[in-house]
Order: sequence, then C-alpha cells, then structure tokens
Amino acid sequence: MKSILTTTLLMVAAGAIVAVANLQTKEQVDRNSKLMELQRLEGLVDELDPVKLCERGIRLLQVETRGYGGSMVVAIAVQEGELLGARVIRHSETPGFSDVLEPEDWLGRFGREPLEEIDAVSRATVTTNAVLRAIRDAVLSVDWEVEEEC
Amino acid sequence: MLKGALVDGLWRRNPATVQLLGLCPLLAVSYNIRNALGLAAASSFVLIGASLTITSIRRFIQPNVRLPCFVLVIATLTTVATLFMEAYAYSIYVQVALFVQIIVTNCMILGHIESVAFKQPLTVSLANAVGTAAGFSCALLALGSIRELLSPLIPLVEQPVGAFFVMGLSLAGLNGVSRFIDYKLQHRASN
Repeated sequence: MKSILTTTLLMVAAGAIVAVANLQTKEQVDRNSKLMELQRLEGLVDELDPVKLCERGIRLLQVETRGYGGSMVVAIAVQEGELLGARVIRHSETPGFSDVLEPEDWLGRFGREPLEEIDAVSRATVTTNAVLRAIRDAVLSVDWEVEEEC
Repeated sequence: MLKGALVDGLWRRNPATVQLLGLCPLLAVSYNIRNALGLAAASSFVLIGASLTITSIRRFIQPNVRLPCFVLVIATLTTVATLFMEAYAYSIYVQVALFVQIIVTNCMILGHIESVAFKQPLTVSLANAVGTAAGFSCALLALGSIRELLSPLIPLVEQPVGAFFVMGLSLAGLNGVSRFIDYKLQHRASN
C-alpha cells in the first residue's frame, strides 16, 4: 500500500516537472523547427505564411510519398501554374543514395526543366521514382487555372 | 573514501572502458567532437541529477518498488534534457536526439544508482556520480576526437564500423597502460 503511494507521488512530481520543462521550451522549439523548415526550403520560398505567399501568387504544397526507406515529405512551390521547384523536407533514404535529393543534384532539375523531361536516376530508382510520382500527382491534382483567394 | 569514489568512476570502474556500459550511444554518436560533447553533457546531467535525487529521497522508497522509481526519475531528467537540447542546441539535437532519448536505458546510470546512490551517503554518491560522468565524457570525447581527426586520413573511422575498430584498439591500449601501472605498483611494493 505504502509503495503504491510512493510511486504515485513520484509520478505526479515527475509529470509536473516535465510539464514545466515543456512549457519553458515550447516557444523556442517551435521557432527552431520553423527555422529548420525554412532552411530546407532555401532557394524555393523565403517565407512559410500561406497568405503572404498567396498574395505573390505562389502556392506551397507538401506531399507525402513512400521512398525506399519509408515515408518522404516533398514540398513544391507553384507560381501561376508553373513549377518553381521542389525540396525534400523529410526522408529516411539510405545515406549516399539520398544525395540525389539535394537541391544541387537531381532534385534541382525540377523547375528548371520541363516535368516530362525529368527521368528517374538508375542507381536510386525507387527514391527518384517516388519523388517524380509525388510531384506529378501534386501538380495534376490541383486546378491551377482557378485563381485562389487570399 | 570520497577520492576513492571519484577515481572509481573516472578510472578504476570507468563505465565505458572498464565496465563497457553505455556503448550503444558511445559508438553511434562519437564520429565527431561536437556530437560527443552534446551526448556527454546530456548524460552527465541525467546521471548526476538522478544520483542526487535518488540519494535524497531514498528513505521514502520501498525496496520492492525501487526500480520503477529509479527509471521514473531517470526518464524525467532525460525528457527535460531532451527538451532543453531541442530548444537551445537544435543543430546538435537533430543529430543526436535518438541517442539522448535512450539515455533512459543506459545501464551505466541505472547501475550507478542501484549500487551507489541507493546505498552510500550523499557526498560519496555525488563524488562517484561526478567521477562516472567525467569518465564517460572523457571516453566519448577521446573517441570523438580520434575519429574526427583520423577521418581525413582513414575515411573508415568515421563510418559506424570504424567506431568498433577505434574503440577496440583504444581499449587494448588502455588495458596495456593499466597493466603497466599495476606492474609498476607491484614492483615497487615488493622492493
């Protein structure tokens, strides 16, 4: 009986400490992850606020897809029906093979070249095909002719 | 007694090189000095904090529920360490987050608490916690610096496989040194 009381009290104290720590750090943690996301989108867009982007005619979409090592999140930016480019926000592809996902590498061809001309890369077929499919689906799924209200 | 407890953790019963505890994060994170430093700081915080907490509240803890209580204290401190790292050392956090979270299951910490913090007086327990934390940090930093400095010459040491080679060779070297010290001490005693 006594041991139940001790553990319960200790748990309450532990919960309180974690809650306080969470409140203390939450703001900074949110800021960090937002900054990180902006860094990943470098060269594509310079802000995350959808309203401000919309005023400039830019739409930022995030699509999830399955790569070789699990889920990947790809962000694409479209301005007036034209693909500006793509960035990978999150992935779990094998290191080394994921080099194609760098903006300086294969992924940078999106936005610079017509979509039909971009092909998968043979040493990273599964990865690049997944990204290709995700971007094509995303571009096709939205009716770009319709003006979005900001 | 105090000095003995400190030296125990730092050298004679060093968690990494003698007891071979906590090797999973040690091997995984030590490919550069920065990550090693991050993990060393988090582990030391949890170890010393948990040791102090348990030593000061142990008279309320019944022996039959001691393990859940230990784990609860360690998990709380680990979560706090993770949160603060995520907030104020984000670039290190991104690389070592997983290994900071599994400090909870680090046998080095539970071992210290079970065998020292739950039994010894506060000062001895604190001395041993500081010694053990310093010992683990030294091992991490040594491994991290060796791997970072050697990686331009031998690329393998930066890879996960390289960690085992570097750790193994360092252990062999350290064993040699400690044998030599023992031998010298014995030699002196017999003269």
